[in-house]
Amino acid sequence: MHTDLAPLIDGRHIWLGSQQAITDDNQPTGYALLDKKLRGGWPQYGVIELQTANGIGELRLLAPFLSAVATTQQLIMFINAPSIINSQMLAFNDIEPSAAVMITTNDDSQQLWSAEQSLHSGCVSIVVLWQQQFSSCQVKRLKLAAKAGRSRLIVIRPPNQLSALPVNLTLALMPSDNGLDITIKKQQGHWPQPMFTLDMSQQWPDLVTHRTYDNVIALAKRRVS
Amino acid sequence: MLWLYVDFPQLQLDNVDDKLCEEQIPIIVVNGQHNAVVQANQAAIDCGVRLGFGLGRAISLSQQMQVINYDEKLTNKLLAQISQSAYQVIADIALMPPHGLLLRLSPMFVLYDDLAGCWQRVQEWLNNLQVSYRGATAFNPQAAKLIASAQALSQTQISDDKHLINQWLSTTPINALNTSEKIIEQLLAIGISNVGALFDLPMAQLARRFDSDFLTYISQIKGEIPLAIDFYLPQTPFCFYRDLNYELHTTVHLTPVLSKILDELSNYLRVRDKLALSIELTLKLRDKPALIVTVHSSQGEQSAAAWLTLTQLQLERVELTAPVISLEINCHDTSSKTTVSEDLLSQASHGAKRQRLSKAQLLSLLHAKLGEDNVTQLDYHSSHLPEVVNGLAVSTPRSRCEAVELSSITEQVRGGLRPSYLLNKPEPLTMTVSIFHGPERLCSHWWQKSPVTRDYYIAKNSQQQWCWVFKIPNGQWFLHGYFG
Repeated sequence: MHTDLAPLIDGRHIWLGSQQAITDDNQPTGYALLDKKLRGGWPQYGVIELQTANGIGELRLLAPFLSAVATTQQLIMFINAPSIINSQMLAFNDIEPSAAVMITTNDDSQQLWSAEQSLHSGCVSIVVLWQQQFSSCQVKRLKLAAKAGRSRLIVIRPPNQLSALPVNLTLALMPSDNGLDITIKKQQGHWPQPMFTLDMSQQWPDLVTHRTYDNVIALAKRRVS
Repeated sequence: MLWLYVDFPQLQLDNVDDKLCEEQIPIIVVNGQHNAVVQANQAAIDCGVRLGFGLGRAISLSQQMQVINYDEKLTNKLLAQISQSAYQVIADIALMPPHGLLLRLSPMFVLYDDLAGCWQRVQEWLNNLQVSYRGATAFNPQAAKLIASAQALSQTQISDDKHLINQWLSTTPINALNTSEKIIEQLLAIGISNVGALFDLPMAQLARRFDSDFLTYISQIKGEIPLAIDFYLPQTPFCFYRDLNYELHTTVHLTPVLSKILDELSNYLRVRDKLALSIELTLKLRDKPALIVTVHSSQGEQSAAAWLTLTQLQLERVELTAPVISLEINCHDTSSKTTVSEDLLSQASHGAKRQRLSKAQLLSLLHAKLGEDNVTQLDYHSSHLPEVVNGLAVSTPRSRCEAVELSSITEQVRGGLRPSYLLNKPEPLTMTVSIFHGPERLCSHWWQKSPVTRDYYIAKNSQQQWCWVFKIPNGQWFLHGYFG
C-alpha cells in the first residue's frame, strides 16, 4: 500500500470495499422470492423507502413485516396516509387495531417531527410515512432516531424519484397481474437488482387478474386434422 | 377570624432592576395625574424628597434624579404575581389593589399550629420576594388594613391578642383612614387625632355630621359590617411580566433576568407536577412591534436550567431590531409528568434496549404538538359494516358499540377480504373498472336510522389499483376503498 494513503485510511477518510460491514440482521418478508432477492429480508432496523403508487399492493407487501414486528407493548404509526387505514385489514393481518395510530397533518415539518419522536421513543415498532420531499439530512436524522429507538421507518413516495436518499433499502414497485414488479434500486451492502415479478397470488388469491386453477390438467396439444 | 394585611407601598420602585439601585441613583415614581411623588427610594429620600412632592420640586433636589411614571396596570400585574407565589403559603388571599394583599390566617393554623408558625412561613415568603412591605393583623380586614397603612416601611404588627390589637387600632393616627381629606380635616378640627377618639364618639352623633359611606367604613373597621371580599383563585396558564426600566441591546444580557423568571416557572411546574412543552417569550422592543419567541421542548421540561439552555439557544438566532424594554413569559402548553416504570429484570435481559417514553407519553406529546384531532388511535368495533367497524359511524342511534380486542375478532367476524385504505365517505365511481370478484352483500341492521344495502365488488381500475366498489339497489356505483 502507498504510504501516503495510510493516514487517510486510518482516519477513515477513505472506505475500502472490503471494509463495508454488512450486518445481516434481517426480518423475513413472508415472500420467498423477495427474501432471496433481498438476501434475507427486510433490514431489522433503519429506513426503507418504497417508490410506489398507492393502492397497488404496497401495504400487502408490508403486511407480513408489520405483523411480525408488531408487539402488544408497542405502537404502529401511520403518518400522512392517503386515506383512513382500515382497522379490519389490520385485524386480518393479526395486528391489534388499537396499537395503530394515524397522524394526519399537512405540515411537512410536523410530519417529520412526529416521525422522529415516534422512532426515538422506543415504544413504536414501526412508522409508515407517506411523504414526497426529503433532504438527505432529514433522512439521516430519522435513521439515527430509528437506530436509537430500535425501530423501523418505511417511507412511501410516489414512483420515479430522481434523488437518491441515504436509506437502507429502496424498492420501486409497479403493478403487475398477479402481484408486483419490484426493482431493488438500492440496498445497503449489496448491488441493486433489476426488475423481477413477485407473485402474491398465494397470499392474496382474491387479488389476481389471471387466476390459475390448480384442479385443471392441461391436455397435450393435439393437431386437429 | 384573624386577618393579615400586607401592604407593598413601593411595588413599582422595587421592580426596578437592582443595577440602578446599587449605584445610589435617586429614583422617584410620580403619579402624573395628581402631580405627586408616590414612591421614592432611599437615595431620593436622602436628597430631601418626601412623598406628595410635586414633580418640579422633587427634580430640583438632585441632578441625577430618575423619574418613573406611575403605572397602575403594571402595579396590578405585579400584585397578581405576588399573590401567585403567596398561594403556596396561604390558601385564602384577596387582592386589595393597588398594592395590598389580604391574607386570612385562621384557617391556616390547622397546618401551621399557631400564629407564630404561620407568621414564620409568611415572613419567609415575604423576604424571598425582595420587595419592601409593611403589615398588621387584626380581627377584621378593614382594621388590619388601617393598622398596616399607619406603619413605617418594613414594620409589622403581628399578634392575636385582642387587647393589643385594639390598642394598636386606637393609637392609629386619624390621617391613616382611607377616606377623603375633607373628612380628615373635619375630624382634626374637632380635636380627634386618633382612631380611638373617633370610636369613643357615639355612632348617632357621627351620623349627623358625616355621610353614609364614611359610617359604613367606620362600622367595617369596628367589625360590625363585613367587607365584601373576592378571594384569589390561582390562574392556570403561567404568565410572568418583567419591566426592565433600561434598554438591552444584546440578547446575551437577558440571561440573568430570564433565569429569575424561569425559576418562577420551575416552581410553578413543580408544585403542579407538570412539564412544560413550550414557553412563549415576548420581548417588547422600543418603538417596534413586540418580538415573540416560542421555545419548544419535545419531551417536556420542568427545570429552570433546561429551559434556560433551550431559550438561550433559541435567542442566539434572534436578531434584535430595537432595544428590549420589557419581557414576558407565558406557558400554556403543559403536560402532566409521568414516569416510565420499567421491569428491572426484563431491562437487564434486553441489554441496551431502553424505552425513553411510554405509549401514553408519546401520544400526549403528539396530541400537544399536533392537536387531538390530528392524532387518531384506530379501533375495531364489532360490526360487519366498514364504517361502524372503524368508528366512523355509530351502529345504534344512542350508544356506540365498544371497541374490541384482537383476540376476540374471530375468523367469522372478519368476513371477506377488506381494503387497507378506506375512504372517509364513499365517493361516486367515475372511472372505468373491471370487476374481478363479487358481489358480497352488506346490509345495515333494521334498527339503524339510514338503512343501506350494498353489493361490494373487488375491481381494478386503469391505473392498476385494486378498488373496493359497491352498487346500491337503484344502480348507482360508489368507490369505498383501495386494497393497498
